[in-house]
Amino acid sequence: MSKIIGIDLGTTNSAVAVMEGGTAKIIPTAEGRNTFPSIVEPIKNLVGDVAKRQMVLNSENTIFSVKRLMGQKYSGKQAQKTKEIAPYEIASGKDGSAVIIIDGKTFTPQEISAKILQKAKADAEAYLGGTVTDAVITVPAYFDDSQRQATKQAGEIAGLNVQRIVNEPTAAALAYGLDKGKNETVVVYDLGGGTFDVSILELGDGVFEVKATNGDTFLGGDDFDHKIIEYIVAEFKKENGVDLSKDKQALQRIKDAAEKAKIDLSSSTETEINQPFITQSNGQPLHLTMKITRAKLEELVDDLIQKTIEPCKKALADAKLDKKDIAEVILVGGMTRMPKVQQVVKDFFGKEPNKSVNPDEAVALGAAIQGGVISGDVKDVLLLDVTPLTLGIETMGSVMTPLIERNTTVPSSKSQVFSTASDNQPQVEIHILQGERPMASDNKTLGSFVLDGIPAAPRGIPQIEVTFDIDANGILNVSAKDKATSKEQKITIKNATNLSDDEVERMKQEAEKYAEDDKKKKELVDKKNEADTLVIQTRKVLKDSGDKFDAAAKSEIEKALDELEAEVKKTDATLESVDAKLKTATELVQKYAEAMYKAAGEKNKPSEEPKADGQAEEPKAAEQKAEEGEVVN
Amino acid sequence: MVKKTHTSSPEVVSLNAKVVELEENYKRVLADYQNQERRFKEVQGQFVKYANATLLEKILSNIDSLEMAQKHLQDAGLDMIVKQLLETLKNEGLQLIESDNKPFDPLTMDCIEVVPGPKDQVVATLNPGYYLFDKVLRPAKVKVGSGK
Repeated sequence: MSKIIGIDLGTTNSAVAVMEGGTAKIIPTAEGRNTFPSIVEPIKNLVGDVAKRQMVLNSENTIFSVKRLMGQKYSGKQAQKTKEIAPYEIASGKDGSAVIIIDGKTFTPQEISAKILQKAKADAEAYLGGTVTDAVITVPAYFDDSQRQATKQAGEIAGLNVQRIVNEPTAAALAYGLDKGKNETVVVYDLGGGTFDVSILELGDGVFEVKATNGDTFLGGDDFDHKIIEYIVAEFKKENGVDLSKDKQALQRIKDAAEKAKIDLSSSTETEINQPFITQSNGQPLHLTMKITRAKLEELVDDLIQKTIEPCKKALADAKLDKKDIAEVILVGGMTRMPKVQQVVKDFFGKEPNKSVNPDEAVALGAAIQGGVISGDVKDVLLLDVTPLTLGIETMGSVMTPLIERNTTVPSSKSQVFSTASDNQPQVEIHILQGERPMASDNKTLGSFVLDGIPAAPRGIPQIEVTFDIDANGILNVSAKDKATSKEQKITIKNATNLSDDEVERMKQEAEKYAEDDKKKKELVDKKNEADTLVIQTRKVLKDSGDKFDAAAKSEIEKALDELEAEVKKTDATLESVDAKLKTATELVQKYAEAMYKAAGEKNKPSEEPKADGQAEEPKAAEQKAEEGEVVN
Repeated sequence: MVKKTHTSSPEVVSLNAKVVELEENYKRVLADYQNQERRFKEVQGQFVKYANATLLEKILSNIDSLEMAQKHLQDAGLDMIVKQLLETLKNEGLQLIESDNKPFDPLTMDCIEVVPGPKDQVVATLNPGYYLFDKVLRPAKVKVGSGK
């Protein structure tokens, strides 16, 4: 099944999107941009940026704003107004409809729009790596039946099966995810490159009804750019007495600089325009350098922004609604990035406008979502779950050791080898936990079982392999296997991922809240484990080769070990107190061990070797512990 | 030869159908994954190759300024610096779009002005264009002849 693409067929710019992995995504053009100019040169078949670049050279053959002519009569107001600004020839065709004459050939607006759609189709095919046959195309809410019909025909000419024609504000509302909400009335404020539209939509049960629409078909970002260019030229003339508007090369540079300044001033309050060697005067080069503040820009374009308010008022009046009836205002079109525009909208409607979706892409994204709904794409996707919380087991010192981390896509399986915590430990308890806290007791217990029959062996020697296996339905199988005897125990826990959202949220928040305390607790446990290891290892050495120490040394070491052990067992032991005792004991052990080695070295008897081994065991055991951890009990 | 005939129970039939369906689903998921992996590798390669594009595009305007200064000052030292800089960037995949006296090509050039001169031929390059590897990083801004 091929994908249905969503196309925003705009007056100045167009964009394409598609559903991918359950979300709508913009398809980049062959030129690597997210939108492309709706400009066509039909003779050489150039579309987009390429057509725009040859526009100056080939103005009579280059068509822009063809959307204004879609489904229009030649005698109509819209066609006549477009004729005034268009350098290409517009004439009366079949049934008096507006057509375009290029190089003696007649093109209908549908054919020209089809070229734009063909580029959209080609870019989508290159991106998706397959044929694209179906599309959802957007039109302004005010388009009448003949304009919609013309748009559909354009799609058919382009070889696209037009699954649906969707209103632009509806698509924008879809992109903002408003279809999931309750019944409410929203305003879509769309200030694009060349047109301004405001629509009032009533949403309810997945149905979008356009209650009213208004706008200005000749107001957009280009007008804003012109204001800035005029200002820069005037300022330069004031300062240098040179009129840059006569110099096409300089004007081009100012145009680029003005657009950049406009964009910069949306995020910063001041920008600098630097164009060295912009022109010459009396053989001397002149540089254009000027600071523009956001306040200045806002002053320059204030009347343009204010022009959008009247249509908003009219739309509200047409819908017989008051500002307070509006639940949400969403912003569409690149110009709505301007803070002043957002401010004016906020002041008028009395609420903060929603600007969470990229305003240039919202309409195309919404069209793609509509396409996804039609094709049932969402149902077709095999939705894989993730584990909402970490799964692990309790190890020495009541520490939670994670096996399957939070947000792991299931099905998933993980194994880790653990060992015993004390000598000749006959069994281990596998205590299965869920949660984000480092201490076992702070997490949720999912279950536990005992693996017994472990042959007598020193601590750290038995190898117990613990495996967590969680299937796609969230059923967790935990098994523990003694590698020496192959004896195995297991438990099945159902609904390991099935927690209510509130529960997950609470556990995550708690983990954050107690992060600092938990870290301290964990550090203390680690320190205590370290102390325990030292006590056990040293006692072993004293027992095995106690005859190598004199009685005084032995009792001194034993005293230090007893003190350390007592400190560890104290309920009010702190990291510092344990650490102090641990240091004393370690230093003492090291001192006598050194003396012992020295004595052994002097005697140089091979029989001393095993004792050296006995000492060397200590760091080895510590290493093992760090890697594997030990199971309690 | 004995031919064994037996009628499958409805349960077996439905289970068989289920197996086929699941196998199909499994293959599709596997194919999806492999395709995704392949595309990821491709994209990753592209990403590394063109990671500098945004930075280079910004630096180009500084190079423009240097070149304009050089045009005015005609300083041998500055000339060397500009050439050095371009050489460094060439090693990173930046390449000049030849535009002077070439036929106008909208794929690589942007026509700013039409002036008397040979028809559809570049009369002057106002701002040089550059490729980054095989992509147009910035089209050349040119004056094109009107044929008059």
